[in-house]
Amino acid sequence: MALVTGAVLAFAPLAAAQDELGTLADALDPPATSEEAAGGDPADPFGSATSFLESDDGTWVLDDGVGFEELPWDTVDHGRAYRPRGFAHLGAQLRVAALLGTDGRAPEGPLVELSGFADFRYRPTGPWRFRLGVVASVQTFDSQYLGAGISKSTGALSVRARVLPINFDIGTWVNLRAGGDIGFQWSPTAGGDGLFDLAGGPTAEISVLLLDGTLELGVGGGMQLTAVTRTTRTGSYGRLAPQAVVGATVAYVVP
Amino acid sequence: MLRMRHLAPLALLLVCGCTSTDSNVPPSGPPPVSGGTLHVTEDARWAIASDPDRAAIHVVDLAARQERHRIDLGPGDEPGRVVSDEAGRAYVVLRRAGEVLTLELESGRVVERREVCTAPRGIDLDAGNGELVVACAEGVLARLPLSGGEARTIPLEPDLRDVVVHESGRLLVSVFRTAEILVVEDGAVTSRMRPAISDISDAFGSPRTWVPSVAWRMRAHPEGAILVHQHSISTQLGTLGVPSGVYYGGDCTTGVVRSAISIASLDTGAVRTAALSGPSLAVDVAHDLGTIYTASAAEPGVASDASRYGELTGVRTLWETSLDDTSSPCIYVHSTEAPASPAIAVARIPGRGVLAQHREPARLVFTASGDEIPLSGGSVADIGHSIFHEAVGTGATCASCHPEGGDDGRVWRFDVGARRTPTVRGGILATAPFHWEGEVPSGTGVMSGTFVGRMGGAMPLDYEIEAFERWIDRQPALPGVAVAADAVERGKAVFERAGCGSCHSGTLGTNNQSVDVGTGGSFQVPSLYELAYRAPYLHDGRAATLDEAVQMHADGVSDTERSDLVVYLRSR
Repeated sequence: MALVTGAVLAFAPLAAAQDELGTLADALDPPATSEEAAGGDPADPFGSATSFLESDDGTWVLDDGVGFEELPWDTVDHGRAYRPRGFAHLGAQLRVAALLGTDGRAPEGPLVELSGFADFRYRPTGPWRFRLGVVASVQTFDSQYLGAGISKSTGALSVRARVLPINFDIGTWVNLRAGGDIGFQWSPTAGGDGLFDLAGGPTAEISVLLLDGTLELGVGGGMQLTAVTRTTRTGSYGRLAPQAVVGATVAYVVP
Repeated sequence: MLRMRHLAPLALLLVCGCTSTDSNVPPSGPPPVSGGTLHVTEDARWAIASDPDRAAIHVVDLAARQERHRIDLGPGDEPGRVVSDEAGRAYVVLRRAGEVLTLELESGRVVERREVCTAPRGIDLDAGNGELVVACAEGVLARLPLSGGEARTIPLEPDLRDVVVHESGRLLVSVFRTAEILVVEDGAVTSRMRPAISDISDAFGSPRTWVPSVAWRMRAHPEGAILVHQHSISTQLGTLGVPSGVYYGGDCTTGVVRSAISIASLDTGAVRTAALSGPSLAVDVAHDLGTIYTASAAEPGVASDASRYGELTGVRTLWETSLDDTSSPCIYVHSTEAPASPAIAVARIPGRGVLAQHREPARLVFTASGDEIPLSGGSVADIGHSIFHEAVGTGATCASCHPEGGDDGRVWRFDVGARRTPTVRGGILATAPFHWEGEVPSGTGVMSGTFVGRMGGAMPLDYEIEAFERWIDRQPALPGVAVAADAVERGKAVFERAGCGSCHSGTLGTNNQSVDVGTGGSFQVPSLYELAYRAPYLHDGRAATLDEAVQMHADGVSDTERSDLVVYLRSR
């Protein structure tokens, strides 16, 4: 019972957020006009007002009885003003995290990653976004010569593409995003040139948006696959060990 | 193990591959294992561990189970054997510095360093006479008064290793490569004892004769002395590429070299000997209440069929009564103490078992409990060092035939003729091509021909071969022995006048050519260093002494000139 209660309490804020956000389908297929958004009923007594209040050039034309004033339409109160405004923004992010797990196969320790990204908002007034980035990371690693030609090495550097399709603002202060990485990692080998392996895994972040959304402070993590390779005089044997990633992020988004 | 674990992920560090440790590794890299570097005081309060890998001496408080002092030495000092007295002082042989260091254990203060001889090896305390007795590889026994003053030296014979002061006042002195024990009385050798030659057929039924060689360590024993040494096969071997040339085997009846234990009775002159199963690199021995402990420095290796070999490394325990068991050709080890990693020394803790010294990571281990005392200093892991001590398919290691990077003094019987083991110290790469016929052009050839072809190991990877070459090439030759500077000068003049330098040219004394000098074919001109330590001489060991070797080459040189020439050659 307590579990159910906990689950309800946990999902309550999400349900409220969904009421506000609409659905992802709404984001991908927004109403073509405000008239359509309002219902588009030709019998609407305010339809004429709507038609003259809206122009095609992205501005509201307001008649306050003294004269007409043109204002950018997204400055008008929509209930929420998501920031930073605009369709696309570039940014950079630093994540400092801890790698945990794998029973000693891959070492636990710090991970630092730097990424550059492009952030797209599906609809200028909507909360849904899409983030695409490139991540370079460096992490704690092992490179041991165990004797008799046997060496063990683990992933140390990686370059990955990051896709965060589940990405939305909750109000004007919080952003939640989730997705995954895919790329390659390099493991140093004792005396050799190193080995390349696949890299990647799911990732998620929750950030507080400051300074009109240009500064993001958050916590994030997920899971990554760390290469663990044993090289012998007759061959190499590799595996990808899953490790948990938990850390903090800071990002700057160009307004 | 070579280990790089970076707690801080610094990209620059990753890119350049730099590592830093607080170890004091000699510029030549960690030296080859010499063994026998651990001593426990009679009151079991202190353990003193020489650490030639880190050029340091560790003083360990055994009651507190922690290192109390670390004494850093010069990178070329190479600390070795240790003894102590009842006054709380330890005396440490500095093998390359030619000195004995006196250390106050309680304070860790270095009291003094005293010159003793060119290449000191073994040391014992002659409490009755108030002296230290030091055995020197160049062939002298040195007596060093505890109260101070210069060493008195007694010439014996080359290649001395350990010395034991017997309660009767007689000295037992071991000879490294022949494994003989000299009984010395009043400054003269009065008798000799030698482990027995054994004839044992191998697992395939082929008769094999084993002769004693390379006495790594001798200690006092109630009967006289206990010795851990090697047995080397004297039966004919095949050549490269011929199956019979493979040094196959893993137990004590096969292969070409094995470890053995001998106990010599001073009263009867008898020597009881038995061979050990397992890797051939037992480098130290301790004895307590009928139990024998050996320290094997062999790194576990991989055979050519990819099977692991040499897991039986570290400290091994056997009963002394096993030496009297004639039903088996081998002593099968009673137990292997934890941890099963290469050990370079063992020492008895009176009443409390045995303490073992491990070099990487540096630590002392109570073998009965497995409890460890870490020693300070960073990693000295070196891939070349590891391969040199790797026990492969036959149980042999490079260090078995090239102990401490030198040679085992053996003349091997191949089907192409007798061939003397060469030294590999002193900058070996500059003497390529290798082997007596010069048929091996490179280190890779040595690996494929000897390490794989004969020893049964798996072919090392390129980076391993590079690391091996890099390490072995940095191992310095032993210092020359000069006793009379004027004779050295005269001998040098003879060397130049007689034209020796036309073949024995350059710093190493070789032009790297194969030359027929009437000794049965064309052979590589041998380098001219460590000549004071390399008997017998020439490709087949036909010259027992350096004087004989010179005599075979130097026509038209008078006896006096030849004598001077020998002095000069010994000084190089």
